[in-house]
Amino acid sequence: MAAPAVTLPGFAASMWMQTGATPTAFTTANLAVWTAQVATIVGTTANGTGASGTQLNVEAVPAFGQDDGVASFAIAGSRQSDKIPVQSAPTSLTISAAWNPSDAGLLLIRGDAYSGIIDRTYVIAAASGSTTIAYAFNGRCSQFQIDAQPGAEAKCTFTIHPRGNQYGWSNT
Amino acid sequence: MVTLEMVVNELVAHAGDLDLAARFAQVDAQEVHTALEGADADSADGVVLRLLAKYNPLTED
Repeated sequence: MAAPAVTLPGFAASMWMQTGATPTAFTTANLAVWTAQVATIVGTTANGTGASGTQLNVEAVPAFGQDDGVASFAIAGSRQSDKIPVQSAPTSLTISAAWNPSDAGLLLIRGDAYSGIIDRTYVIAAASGSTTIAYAFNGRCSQFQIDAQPGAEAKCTFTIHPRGNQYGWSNT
Repeated sequence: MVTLEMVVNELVAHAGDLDLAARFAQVDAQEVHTALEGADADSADGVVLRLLAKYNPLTED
């Protein structure tokens, strides 16, 4: 679907994830389909239906995209070397969240991290009014840590590693 | 013979690099563009057909 011809001033970003202990991650094509696909993960607060998803209560939506991947060449005697872009790996998302042992989403994340082989579909939604632009990707979770030091609120930290090339953009 | 429908179904179910898979799919450009006109833009078929159309442009004779 074509992107809406509007800007989203002051949009609200939120993060969503598939529910279920052993989810079936979306195929790559469906990651770019809003209706009946991505919308089922995104909740009603971001204009989805949320039937098979839950919000991930994160402190902040992390940067996402791709890492810088280049092959550098230098030839003896030449003044400038050359950086040739190569296909870059997707950026891993290191996320902090308030640790709540009753939070369904965080418990799924913890289970995924213990397993290490569970592919799950995640969605980062940018919503403004009735317009939402969604970035959906498949990823695996690792490095789940709980920091319960007494001087501050307990929090957990984990990293989502997106699977290569398994992403899509969609919108309402 | 592999039909366009079979190719599209295979790509819709593809779990890897969809762009790369679409680039090397053997399809008829005219058939792809005809199918794209009738496809729902916000559907998996539409996503796949747009990619196939990108790599199989119509040539002017």
